[in-house]
Amino acid sequence: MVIMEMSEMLTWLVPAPPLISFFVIILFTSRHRSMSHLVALFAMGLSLLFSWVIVFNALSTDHFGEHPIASDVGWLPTGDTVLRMGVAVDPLTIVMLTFVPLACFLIILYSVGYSNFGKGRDQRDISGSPPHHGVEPMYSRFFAFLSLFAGAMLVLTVADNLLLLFFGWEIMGLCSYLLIGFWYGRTYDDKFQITPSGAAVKAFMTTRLADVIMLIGIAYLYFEAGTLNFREIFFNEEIMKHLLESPSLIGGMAAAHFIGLLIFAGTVGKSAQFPLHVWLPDAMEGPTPVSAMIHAAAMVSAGVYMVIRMFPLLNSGGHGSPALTVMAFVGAFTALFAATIAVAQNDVKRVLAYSTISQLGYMIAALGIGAYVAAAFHLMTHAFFKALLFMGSGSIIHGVEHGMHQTNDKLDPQDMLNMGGLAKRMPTTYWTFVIGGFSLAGFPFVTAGFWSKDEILADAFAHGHWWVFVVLLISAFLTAFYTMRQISLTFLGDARTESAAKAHESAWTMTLPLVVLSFFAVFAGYVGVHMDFPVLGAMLGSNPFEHFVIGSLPHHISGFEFEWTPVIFSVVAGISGLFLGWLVYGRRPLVIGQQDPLVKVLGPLYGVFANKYYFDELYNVVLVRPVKWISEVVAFKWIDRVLIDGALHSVANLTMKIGSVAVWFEKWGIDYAPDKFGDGVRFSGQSFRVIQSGRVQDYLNITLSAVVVIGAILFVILR
Amino acid sequence: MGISNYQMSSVISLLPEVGLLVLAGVVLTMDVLLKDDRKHLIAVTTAVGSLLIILAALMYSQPSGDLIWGGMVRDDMLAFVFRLAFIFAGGITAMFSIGSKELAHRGDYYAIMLGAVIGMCFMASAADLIMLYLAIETTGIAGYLLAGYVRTDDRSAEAGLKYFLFGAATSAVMLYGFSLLYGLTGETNLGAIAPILASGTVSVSAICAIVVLILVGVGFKIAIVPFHFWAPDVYEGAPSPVTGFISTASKTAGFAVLLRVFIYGLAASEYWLPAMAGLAAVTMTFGNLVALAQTNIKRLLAYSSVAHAGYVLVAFVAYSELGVASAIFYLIAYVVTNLAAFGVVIVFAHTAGTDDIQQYAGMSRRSPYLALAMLVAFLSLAGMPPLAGFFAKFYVFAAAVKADMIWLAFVGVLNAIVGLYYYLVVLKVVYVSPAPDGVGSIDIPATCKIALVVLSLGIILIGTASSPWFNWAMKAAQDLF
Amino acid sequence: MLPNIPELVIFLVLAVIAVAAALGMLASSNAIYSALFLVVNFGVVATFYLLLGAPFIAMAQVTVYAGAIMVLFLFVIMLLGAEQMKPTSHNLLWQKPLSIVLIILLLSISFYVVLGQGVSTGSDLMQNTSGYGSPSAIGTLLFQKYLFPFEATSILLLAAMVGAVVLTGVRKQRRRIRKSRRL
Repeated sequence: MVIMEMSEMLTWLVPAPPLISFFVIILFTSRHRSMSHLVALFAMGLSLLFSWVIVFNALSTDHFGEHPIASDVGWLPTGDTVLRMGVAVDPLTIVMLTFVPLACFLIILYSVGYSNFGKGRDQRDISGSPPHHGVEPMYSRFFAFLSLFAGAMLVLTVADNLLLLFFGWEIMGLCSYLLIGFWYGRTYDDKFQITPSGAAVKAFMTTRLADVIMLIGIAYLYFEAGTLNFREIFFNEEIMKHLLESPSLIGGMAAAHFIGLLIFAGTVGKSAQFPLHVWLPDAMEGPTPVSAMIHAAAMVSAGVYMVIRMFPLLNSGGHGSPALTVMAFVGAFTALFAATIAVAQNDVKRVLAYSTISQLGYMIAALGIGAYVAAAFHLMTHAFFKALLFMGSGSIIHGVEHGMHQTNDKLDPQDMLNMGGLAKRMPTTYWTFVIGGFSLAGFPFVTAGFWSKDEILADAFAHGHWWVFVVLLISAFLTAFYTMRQISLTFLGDARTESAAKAHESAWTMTLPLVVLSFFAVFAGYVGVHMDFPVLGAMLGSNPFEHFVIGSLPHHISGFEFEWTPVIFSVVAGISGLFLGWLVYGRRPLVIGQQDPLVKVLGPLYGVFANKYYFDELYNVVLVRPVKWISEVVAFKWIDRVLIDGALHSVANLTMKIGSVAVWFEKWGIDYAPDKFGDGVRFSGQSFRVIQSGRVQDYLNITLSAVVVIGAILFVILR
Repeated sequence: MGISNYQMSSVISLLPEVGLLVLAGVVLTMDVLLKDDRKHLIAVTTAVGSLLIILAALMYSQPSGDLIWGGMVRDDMLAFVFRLAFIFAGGITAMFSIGSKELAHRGDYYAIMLGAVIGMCFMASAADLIMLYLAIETTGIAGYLLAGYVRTDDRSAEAGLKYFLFGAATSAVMLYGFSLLYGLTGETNLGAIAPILASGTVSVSAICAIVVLILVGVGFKIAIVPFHFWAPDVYEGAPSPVTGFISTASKTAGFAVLLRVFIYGLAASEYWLPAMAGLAAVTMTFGNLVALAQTNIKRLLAYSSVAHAGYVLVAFVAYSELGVASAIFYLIAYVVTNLAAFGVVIVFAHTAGTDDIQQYAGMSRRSPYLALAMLVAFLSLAGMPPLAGFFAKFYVFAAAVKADMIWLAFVGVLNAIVGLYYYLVVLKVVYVSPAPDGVGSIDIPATCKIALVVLSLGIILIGTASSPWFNWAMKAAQDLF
Repeated sequence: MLPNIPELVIFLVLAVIAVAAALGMLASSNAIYSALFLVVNFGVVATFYLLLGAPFIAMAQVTVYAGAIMVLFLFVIMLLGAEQMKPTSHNLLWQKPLSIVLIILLLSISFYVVLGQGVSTGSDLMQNTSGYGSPSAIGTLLFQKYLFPFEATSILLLAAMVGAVVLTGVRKQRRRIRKSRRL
């Protein structure tokens, strides 16, 4: 019991330190760089400590899912009822608390090196642009934003209701805007390339669209259920029954599923699912730690976490719920679609960006076919290896940029065609990147990614979702292929540019997080091995992950029998993808000026992949331009200028007139005479004259006349 | 009757007032004993003493809800909450007074202010007409003195006299109302008056006359239209710490009397509610519209405080437990917020020597922390979430809607928008306009710094965690029904 | 209870005198006359108290108001040499008609209220118990029921006293400043 109470208190405290550190950095330490990052690190470390204490307490509690930690306070009294705000920790939250604070902590640590801490200010650097050689000009601000980001993510994680979750969600939206556009001053010669500020606006607008739909869903849910508390909704048979039986706005669909879909729209935006995926690759314009934060630890995980959280609602009424079908379709499609794009990207971060979209599609698809545990499992392993890969890519870019400063070359430090041969120059980055990459590719039996991916495939296979199984299998193959391509282009062979040849290993603050994460990228998978898996299953405690996480659900969902077929398929897909990648790129690494062999093989298809199916262009023509046109011509020129401005101006004029009449009344009717009188008298200091000025008498006359009027009105009312 | 009325618990419930009286004595003594260069300790003593009194009150004088001292005083939650607010306002004002050159080192000033606080405490707890009038006069006389304290400044002297004359006249009118009330019911105790009025022996027209006459006195204290004429002149002329004090504590005390007399004493005679609703609408609208055109920050805050009185009146005419609770919550939020706003004005004038809004240009660069405090205070006044002012307005309008006064809530919301405009205009000057050349950073005295930090945190805390405060207000409101 | 006829006649006569004295005080342009009219008014009011059977209050009225306070008034007026008030400036002229209207309205409202309440007003209130208004009765009230306000008055007086000291103290300062300017 004591442990429970302590955990309760700690849960409240988990999001607090980063949020406080945001204010501390902004208000007090903005001038001291080392103080700023120490504050941020200390706060995040505190959160990490709290979280892990909670995690260990929970893990050592039997049947934790049946009596989770929950604590709330009345927040907004609304007369008869009180809107309550609180925190709750159930097994799903425990999963999040395992990796979110750790990843955030490592990202902040990594940022110290990434922002060139320890070097002096370079005079050429200006705020709002990436630093050349010296320390980041807006160093403290960066850590403040990262802290706020992490704090918001933790608020979202421990929230016990949708509203608080939405608060965290929106703060993260704000932070992503601020951080993607952190180098707001950066411009490119190529005017078609998106700038950081453009990317920030794009990310903000896209997710905003999704958030509005989600907010409608939340409002709808509150209207129907009368509460937003997860447990109160999901564990209350009556509410669930009501939600399932009341018809929604769309004919034939239960309110539960309709609400679920509306809320899922938020995930589509936040987790960059098709068709709102366009913002995420452009978000690569932000500093790399931000990319790691957005794509691994926080934002995209939040989207998936939220939809996993809402699973009981989506799943209500058993299998075949239309909401789940939509999710399975969207997820599987996104997984394949993004994987094909990733194959043809040359920007080291963009490959990872599309890979993220693809992997998120995996999770959504898994949830769509009811593989609740597998989705949560993949969410966790993905966070580890993808954070590792992003930070690795940041380290690579950093190394190449270092080379660029020595050679004074002007080239794109993120283009993989400009790299090659980095394995020798940056050994730590190389080995950790390989581990992360193999985990992403699903290298059998050793890596975490294999186990979680295999579980999704096995679940699809066991429950007969054939098309999901096939689509995901193909994307698994493609994933392995582009991962190998990326590793080969970046690290193997000889340097294709002078700058790459002069690259050097990054500072320890950057490599240490890589090493720590590669540990988890390998071993995090062993907690979720299927219990019937030969040898390993029994040895690793019969899938403790599933036993633990399943406790979050009100009704246990059926597991599945172990079968060899999906395992063989997924092993083959992973190995063959990697092998093919090695055949094409690794055996004979590209030399200077050589064309990507894929261009010849794929032909025109390569152009389609490289240009992301022309989605940006499509949106531009179909959505952005018409909207611009409407807003400029119809909304601005006609409606705003003519109608609204006309109306507003007349109201404003009227208001100002009334205001000025009132002022005039005050000033002339009351103040004028006395002031005139007073001015002449004042200089001699005879302040007593003021009484004789008549002002107060006037005030009192008006007041008492008004009293008579009020009295008269009262009498009239009473008559 | 008899000695049994005066028990130990009755004395302990008076702990805050006794403490304030002792503190006033200490302060006067210090004024005599201390050398001139150490007189800033007087302000510190006042502030620390107020804090100790608040703590002691919280620990030892939790209200019993009884009528004590022969029925003169009602020791209930309503009085308790308000008294703590007054003492808090007094302590904060003492800290801000350091920022005023004329007031900072004068012990008698602090003593009179403490006297005013005692008067306000009595106003909040008085349950008898005689006690009530005495309390109002104690507050009033101390207030007139404070407003006219800086005799070397004509504007201050003028403010003091205007305040006095207006106060004396309205108080006389109110006294006439009291005498009618006594004459027609034969009782001075509000608790005893209520059932007599309810029984119907007093004619409705007589009650109306009484209501109007009493409203004159109370309306003067809370500065609602049409009893607000003194407010802009007095606010502008009085020394800024005093203005802050009068516009928060004195106004709140007036509302305490309004709630006590009209809901506790004149219960069951709610004919006047429509008229009050009208006054609320007029007050809000007038205050906000005139504030739009002000160029002096103290005048702006004066008219804005008139408008705020209108919002509280909205909660009052909702005439329900929720309404009273939201009025109390609004007043708590308003005291904290408006004190912060005046604190900024005091500190700014301390360096810049002016209250002209245009002179605030570029203040965010001259002192980012002061600008931040101003941002918090003004956004809270404007009713921006998640600050105290937002939730205060939220509860008030919610109460109005629940009482089926949707039109009034609507007028209130419209007014909140107008208010937002002029608060933002000031913030725009502070944050966007460039500072004039040759002005340096702004020096913030240490006590003012502490006070501003406390108030800013208070604004955020009351906003984000409004529930415990509202529960307090709710408990206080339940004492009236 | 029928009103006592001689008492009623005395009351009416005195009432006329009281109102006339009050009006005279307001209308007189000489401050001394005003003060003396006020003394007359106080005296009449004291007689009312006697009629109502409250001799102690009547004596208090005479000694405190008509005696002490009025003497103070006269002293101040003479010291300041402000016997003759200056003619009011033109912007106050419109106040006179307004104040007359207000007075009429107030009177009519008062009559309406009192008459609306019925003639029997206060008959039970006027039933004087023996010893009503005697020093001992007042003392008992003051030190039992109204002990608390009685004590609280001291705070009011204290504040007013400190204020008076402060205000006069400041004036000395001003004079010093003026002197130094002259030098």
